Amino acid sequence: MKSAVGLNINRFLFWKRKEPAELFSIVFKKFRVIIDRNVKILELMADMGDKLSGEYIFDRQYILSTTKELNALMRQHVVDLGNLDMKKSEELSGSFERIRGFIEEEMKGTTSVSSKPVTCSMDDLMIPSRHTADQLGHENIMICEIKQKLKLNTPDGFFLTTRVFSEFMIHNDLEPYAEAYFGRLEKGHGKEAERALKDLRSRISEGTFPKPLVSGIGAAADRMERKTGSDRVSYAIRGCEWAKDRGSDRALQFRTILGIHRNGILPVCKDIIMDFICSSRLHYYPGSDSGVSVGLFAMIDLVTSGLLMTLDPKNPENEHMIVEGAFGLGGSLKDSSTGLDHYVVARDVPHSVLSMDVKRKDRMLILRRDGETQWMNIPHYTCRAPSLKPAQIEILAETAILMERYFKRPLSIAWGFDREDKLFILGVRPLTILADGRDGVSPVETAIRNAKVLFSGKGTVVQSGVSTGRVFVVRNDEDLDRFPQGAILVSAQSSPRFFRVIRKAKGILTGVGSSTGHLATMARELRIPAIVNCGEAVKTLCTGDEITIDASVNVVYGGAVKELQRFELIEEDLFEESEEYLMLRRILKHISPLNLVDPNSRKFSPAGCLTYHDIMRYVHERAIQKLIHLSTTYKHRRHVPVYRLETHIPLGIFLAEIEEKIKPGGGNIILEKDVHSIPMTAMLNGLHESGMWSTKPLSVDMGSFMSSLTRTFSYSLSAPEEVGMNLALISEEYMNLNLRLGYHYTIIDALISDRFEENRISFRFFGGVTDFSRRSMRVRFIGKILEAFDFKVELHGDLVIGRIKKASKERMVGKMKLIGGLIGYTRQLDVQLSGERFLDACVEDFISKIKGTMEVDSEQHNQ
Amino acid sequence: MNSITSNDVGREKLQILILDDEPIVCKRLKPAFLKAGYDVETFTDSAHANERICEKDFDIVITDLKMEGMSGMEFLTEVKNRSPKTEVIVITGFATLEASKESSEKGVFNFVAKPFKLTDILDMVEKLKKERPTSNVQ
Repeated sequence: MKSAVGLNINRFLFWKRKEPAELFSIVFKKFRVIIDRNVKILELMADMGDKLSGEYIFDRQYILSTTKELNALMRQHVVDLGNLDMKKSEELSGSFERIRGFIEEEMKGTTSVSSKPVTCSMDDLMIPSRHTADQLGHENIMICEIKQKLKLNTPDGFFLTTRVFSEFMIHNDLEPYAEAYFGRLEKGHGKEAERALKDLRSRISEGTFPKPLVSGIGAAADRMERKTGSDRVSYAIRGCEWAKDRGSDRALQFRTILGIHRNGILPVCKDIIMDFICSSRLHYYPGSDSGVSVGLFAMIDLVTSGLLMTLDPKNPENEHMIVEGAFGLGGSLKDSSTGLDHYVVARDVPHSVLSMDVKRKDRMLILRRDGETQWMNIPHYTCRAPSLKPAQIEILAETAILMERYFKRPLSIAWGFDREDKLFILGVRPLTILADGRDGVSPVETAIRNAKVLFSGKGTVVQSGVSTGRVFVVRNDEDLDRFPQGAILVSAQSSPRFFRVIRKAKGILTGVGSSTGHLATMARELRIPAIVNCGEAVKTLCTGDEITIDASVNVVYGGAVKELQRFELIEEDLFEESEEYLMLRRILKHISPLNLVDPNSRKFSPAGCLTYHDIMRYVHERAIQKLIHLSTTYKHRRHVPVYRLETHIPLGIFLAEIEEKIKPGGGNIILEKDVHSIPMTAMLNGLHESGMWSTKPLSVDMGSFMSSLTRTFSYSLSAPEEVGMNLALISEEYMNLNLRLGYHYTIIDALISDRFEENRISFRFFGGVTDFSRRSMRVRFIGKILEAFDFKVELHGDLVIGRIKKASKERMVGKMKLIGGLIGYTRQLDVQLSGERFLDACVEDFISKIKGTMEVDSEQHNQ
Repeated sequence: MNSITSNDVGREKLQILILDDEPIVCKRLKPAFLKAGYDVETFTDSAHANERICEKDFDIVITDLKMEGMSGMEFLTEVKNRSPKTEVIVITGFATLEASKESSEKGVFNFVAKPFKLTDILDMVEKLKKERPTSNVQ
């Protein structure tokens, strides 16, 4: 019995050992396909990211078709993994379907009533999938953005979503009564409509909320009490309309009810529902795609409060803000018996007070200790004092401009200062500038025609928009310390350190950078008009110059073109509020981020794949591991043609031969002289002959060192030990090399033969250890070199792609030598590249060194 | 119809009609062209756009191809029949060689695949403006 089992095992092992010869060809073929597909996926992801800048016109169809293409590529990736590892493929399939499902949900946009949450805390709202206007209304989302993105003070609070309204209507069977009212109103039956309205009002008043809603609201109130440490939280409650066919500027404006404790929440909600349904402005009608949410904000003991309009709606051409203020809580503003101070403030820094009309204020609304509100008389010796101090006006104006720049439209802002002089934003809504007013504005085209264009089309727009201000050139950290409020940040570099001042900046212009860089992400988050990679053009700007950036068309004007800024402010539709923009942004959250970094980590698994990028990374890694595993496990068998290439330079390359022409006998090591692949040999020769590979240790300055520590990890930046080995697929005429050296990643795909029409080389390079500006400079260096040698070059973030095809075999061999030289030269170039001047010097240096190596091309460059 | 125009009397500015059934395209192109000094009318429905070209000759028509009802190709044919001087730019998310060829045969000035850069289409129209007889243009 024992021997029989042993025999069976031996037979099994014998069978297993024979497998790799067949398996390898499949793995090899699949690997090749996976590599090609990876390139397509990366390019699609970069392309989708570029579309968020505002520089492109895209539509829903683009999102649908690109996502469909991406879905197909990812599905095929998962299927191909099945040829390598069926079990993992099945697991990965589950992750893929989950991510695809999320993306589909995002594309649908709105969620069904039952899947909406009942309540939502302000802190939860920035989770993109929950960031939906149909649940909360535009104004509530705006207040959350003010808190989360602009980091301004707002009251703490939570929201009751539009689900509460929908379920209240259903639970109390109110739709037929609403229909009866609106039906009679439409038919012009005035008296009958009035009776129906009375009936509807009384039914709302007597209505009850479904129990699950009541418990949901109670739980949210409990959380607030725990958070504030008080069991008697008092709320300011305000309704917020959402309507599919109406923008935020046309939403119904609700009054704010102050000083409500938790037992008063539901009755106030009923009042809000009544105001919404029975509004004389007819914002609601049965069957309409609209609803009302409710914001509950913890009361703050304010000493002064008021309203600010960032633009005077009557005279938008005057660059003024209008501020109205009174002592006490916001409720004081509504009291007709008390006067309101009126200030006209300049929009430009330092926000001078242009006029001030201080009124006598006899009483004010205050917050009592028990959370209730109370009117209190103002003593006669202070009743004529201004409600705002100059310093408060300045901070208020600065904050208002910051908010306006973010929302890209004039705003009406409810504000308040507490006893510690801390400014709170209590509410915000877009300010409607009437079309008549718009026509009255000086013609923007005349202003543009008369403006001096300093430069145009020079860089990459990463955030569209218009901004006027004074230039402040940033060269070092000391400059950042001095960066003034409201200036335009201009720098030859791009650095994550700019984050320190970015909130103060009205616009950004840099000499280097890309649409996927760190700075671009920050500019987009805060919606600061920004153009990066402008090259030398930024050097023409000096600190103190007044300029206007129109990032929507990539132009920089000299002087202030105020008409342009005003034109943008009163634009009806904002790109950043468009359904397409929001949808693409939400979808990309499930596509682009990379979570799988370390192949040795436990999380490096199909279940750990949270995005499409993760899936791509996982499949790629598994394919490489499989090939390497086959070569090391079956190294004694001649039919597994994977060899370690022995080179003087530590490249860590494994060669897999497509045509199996390497002569057996040398074990699993192959010497350079035995490699019979035109592209590979040419590349290695280029590396050696050019002498570009420097083994001298480089001194790393503190900036790049710190950057390497703090930078977010990504696939392209993984360290070699976390990535695995480098694999090249070769034949006599073909080479596909995936090469990681240090922290950058190179993919070369080349076919070189006597049939010149088939010849092609594609070179991709990305990653690096230093900060984005240096990496970006290295990418520009490579781009310049490749362009100088006739490659067609594309730059996407810190990815550079160079392509050349249909050149003679001799010329293509020369190009591969060039690439060999580039691999050596650029190995640590990001660390060396400390400035623009150095970049040009490096380009010259490289060309002079490579000329001797590339006989054919050197003639061209000697001319 | 979404129309922001100056009066038609002076005809100083180039008159542009944009037709695309995706509102986002019209919403984004309109302010960009207005800012650049053109008069712009935008339509998301080809039937309404067709009614408008019966009332007024435009200098430039920018149209999508694939739309419900009257297709972009039918619309641009109608435009060219009514006003041969009108220059047409096609913008489409379904750019095929056949569609490009057919557009070209019908006298279309340019054929642009969506997505495209805002500055590209502005430059294209600026080029058209320069090439047109000066009497029509400011």
